[in-house]
Amino acid sequence: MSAMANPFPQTSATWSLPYRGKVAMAGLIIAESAIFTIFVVAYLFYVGKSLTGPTPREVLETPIFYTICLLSSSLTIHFAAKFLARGIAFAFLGFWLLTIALGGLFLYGTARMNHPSVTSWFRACRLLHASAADGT
Amino acid sequence: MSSNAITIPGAQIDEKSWVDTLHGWVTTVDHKRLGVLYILYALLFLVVAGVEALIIRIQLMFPHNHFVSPEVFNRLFTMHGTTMVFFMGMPILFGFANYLVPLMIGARDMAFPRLNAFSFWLSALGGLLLYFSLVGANGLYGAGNAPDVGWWAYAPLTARAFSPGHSTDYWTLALLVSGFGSIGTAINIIATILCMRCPGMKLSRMPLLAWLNLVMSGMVLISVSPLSAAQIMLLIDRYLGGHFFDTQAGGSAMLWMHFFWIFGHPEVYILIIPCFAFMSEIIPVFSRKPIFGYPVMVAATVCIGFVSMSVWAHHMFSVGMNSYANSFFTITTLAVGVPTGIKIFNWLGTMWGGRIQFKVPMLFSIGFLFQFLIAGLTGVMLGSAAFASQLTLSYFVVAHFHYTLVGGVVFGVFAAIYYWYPKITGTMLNETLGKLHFWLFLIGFHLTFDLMHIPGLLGMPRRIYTYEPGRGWDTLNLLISVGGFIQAIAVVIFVANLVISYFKGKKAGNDPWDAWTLEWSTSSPPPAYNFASIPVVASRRPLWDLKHPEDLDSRYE
Amino acid sequence: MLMQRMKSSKIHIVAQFIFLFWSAAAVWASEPPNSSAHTTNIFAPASTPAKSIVDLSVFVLVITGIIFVVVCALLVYSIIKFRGRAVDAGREPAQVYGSTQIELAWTIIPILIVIVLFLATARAIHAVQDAPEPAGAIEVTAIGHQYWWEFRYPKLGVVTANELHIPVSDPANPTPTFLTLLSADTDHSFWVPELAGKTDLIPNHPNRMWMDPQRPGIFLGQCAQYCGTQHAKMLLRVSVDSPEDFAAWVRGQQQPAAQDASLATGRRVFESNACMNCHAVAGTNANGRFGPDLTHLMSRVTIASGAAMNTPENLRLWIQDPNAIKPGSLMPAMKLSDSDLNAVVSYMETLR
Repeated sequence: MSAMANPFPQTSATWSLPYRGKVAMAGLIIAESAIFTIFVVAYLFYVGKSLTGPTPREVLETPIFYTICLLSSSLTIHFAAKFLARGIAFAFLGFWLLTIALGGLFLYGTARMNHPSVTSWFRACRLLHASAADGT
Repeated sequence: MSSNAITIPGAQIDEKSWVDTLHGWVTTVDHKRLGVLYILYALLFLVVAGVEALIIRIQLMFPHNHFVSPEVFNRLFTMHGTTMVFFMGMPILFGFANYLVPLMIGARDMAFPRLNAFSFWLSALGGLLLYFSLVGANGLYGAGNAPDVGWWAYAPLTARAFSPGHSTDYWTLALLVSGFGSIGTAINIIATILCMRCPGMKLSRMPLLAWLNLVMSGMVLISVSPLSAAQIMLLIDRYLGGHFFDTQAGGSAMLWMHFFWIFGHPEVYILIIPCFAFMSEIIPVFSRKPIFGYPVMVAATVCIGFVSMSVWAHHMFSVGMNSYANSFFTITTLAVGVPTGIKIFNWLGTMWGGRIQFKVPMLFSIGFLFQFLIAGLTGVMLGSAAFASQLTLSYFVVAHFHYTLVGGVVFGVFAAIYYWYPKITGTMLNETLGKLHFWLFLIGFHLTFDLMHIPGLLGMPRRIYTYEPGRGWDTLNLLISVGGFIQAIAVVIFVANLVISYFKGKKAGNDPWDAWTLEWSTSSPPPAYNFASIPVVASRRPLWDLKHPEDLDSRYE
Repeated sequence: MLMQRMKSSKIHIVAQFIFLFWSAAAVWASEPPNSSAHTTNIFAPASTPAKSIVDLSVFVLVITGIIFVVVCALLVYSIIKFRGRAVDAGREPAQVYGSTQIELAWTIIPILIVIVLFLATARAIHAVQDAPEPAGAIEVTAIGHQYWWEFRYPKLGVVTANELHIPVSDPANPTPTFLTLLSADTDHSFWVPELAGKTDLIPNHPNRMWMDPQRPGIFLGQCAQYCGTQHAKMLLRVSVDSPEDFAAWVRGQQQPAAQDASLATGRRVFESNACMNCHAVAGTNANGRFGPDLTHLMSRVTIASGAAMNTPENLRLWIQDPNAIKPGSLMPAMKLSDSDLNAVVSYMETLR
């Protein structure tokens, strides 16, 4: 097989196809959107229907500052990648570190906001598990 | 199998030890090897789930039979359904897609070979996890063991209150894990098809198998995720105090049904569309004509892909939706029958005026056509909500979906195996054994699944471990079970054929069927790199153009 | 040439075999049921909803039957007419790529068929689901349990289990039965094929259905939505009575339990063991709701939701060990001594 001449007709036209990384990321985003759509549907179905609470209003607050951090980190990593592609190390390093800082800030803020819910959640789990282990 | 080295005359080549061979297979990222792994994995589970089905049929041979206890029976039908859909159907179709798509589009491998391997091993883990439940799911007597909630796992039966122990969790986790594997493979297939076609292969010149796998992969992306989301919510219900589907605390059983079937219905199209692909490759070759109406075949498939996303609640015609919802889902379900019917007509149109060769792949394809027609028509009956309120949840619907899944998917897979085995292994499958396999399986299939419609019409519900005598179900169930055993014998012959022909089969050569797509231009089996130089194509049937330079396809497209 | 002829004669032989087989199967399958047995045949409707469905189904079957015959005939014809003959070896047939007219035809015709089928179906759906409730309707609340049926007649003050009694409905003066379907635990489905299509009992999601049987008799059915271990033995028995019989039945059910002083022992066993925690007997202290109401147990033909006939031996066996009759049933074996068991069974026997 390797010794055979190419039996297929030649073409001189340029042949360009989409970049596979982009297509794969688009596919991943579609799949992620599908999964989160279902979570959103469940949320909307149950909004206002809680029998015991707490309600979202009581527990959550709109994290404007941390959202800005998250969204701008997308911008900074984009610039970092651009500078990396162009080989300008200093600018890349700066934007990259800025991205990490913004991301870290976001994570800290999210953790801080969710900390009370999470600890009471784990407390409930421990209680559930204790009663379940009795012999469900 | 496929050679991984170029033979240098006179060089010393060490014999590979079996450990090295095994290592090669376990660490492979070659799409052909992964394809074979997927297929072998699926065939193993075909046998396992088939045995589960036979045990079910023995229990149902006579009313008030005591072959297995009700608990075991309920686990059997759950495992049979779950295994066949997720660990037989999906892997074998992904396996063929993996093997064939790069070869058919003139590529050297899939877009992401390591993602490919990762997805396979994830799916494999899922299957093993499901069966590990037999030993691992501890709990009180009757509460552990294999899952027994049905393959749809309706809430609130899956709540901790009604399914103690961990059997349901094994179901949930096994499918969650293999679902991620499926999404990985789907992304890979889409990227491969869109980004790695050889020069000249515009989308309108791609083999239909590639097109249909593209549509199937798009559907996987959108429909497997809802199942994963629902399963995560189920786990939250069972372990983190959630009440998404916990009706005792205000949750909704209906919500689970909607989420499950938003996955479940596209899933069955995901299972059948690759079989449509096989038919679209096999029927033209054995009719000696190109596929009739290529553009419409593509359009119809894309149409099926979209419309099938809107029909899911026809699985819920008995749950008490209002008449407007029932009417909506009736019209969408009937509508999806139109593009499907068009495809059947196009395959008929391909055969019409041809010179049909009744080799084994074509026998299975003709069986597919006949059976898919019937399955589609019983589907029309089930799609009509009022009629469905009698037919659903009965053995009529069990007969219908086995008609599509066995009469459609399994027949399609058998056709594909007989057609591409020579390419994969380099040897032909034995034609006599193949014909014996076909006729026995056909007889057994029809004995079982034709008759199975009748108990449904006579009021026999599904998922019952036994039934009352004197309702007209007794003799029918006995005959249905006999048919199951006939099919089992046919499958044994098939497996024997696979093994014997691997060692003793006739050499196949590059192109035993005189076919026209790119995979037949490589050696059998193809080398690791597929093509020495990337082909350039000018029509939908590049090998036809090579063999018939006086009558180029490219002149007519 | 000979090979091809042999092949087609092989096909003929196979076709004949298949035809003979099907005729035999059809004869077998249509064996008339034992005259004392009851059928659950969806094509033997005895009530308007079931009848609307049969009318629709005949229409659908005719259309799909025609499609099947036509397409099958084309398939068989093409297999026979266009089979490759040895004489054609090496020559390819005309390479036809498609035909716009034909493809348009076989797109438009199915669309028209779909529209027609949809209209017929929508009519049937509306007729069954949106039927108004006349003044003389009987109201029944059916509550599904693992693995038995609770029936309450709220306006009549009747509570019973597993066996439903409803009156015949005269079309001139209709007295249909409207059921409200609820569930105490998992999903169930109420399916008596000769009276109506099935409707599920979903917890937290009340459903409505109706039936107006037009002839008296016994109609059988069973749960159709997998609900757990003993889903298979959650049977239904609907007794369609003449108006007089129905009224008599209701009067009997409205009475509190028969009090018989000689069975004080049995009653004491019943009330001192956990029986009364699950079961109710009207007029006594027992008012459990987890299991079937036993006030008029002896008025039922079967026990354990149809799993066994209501005989003293079966009753004794059931109370002694429910798993002997229905393994996986949620009623525990009470491990009564023989004398206690006899006393309780005698007590049950008085609950007419």
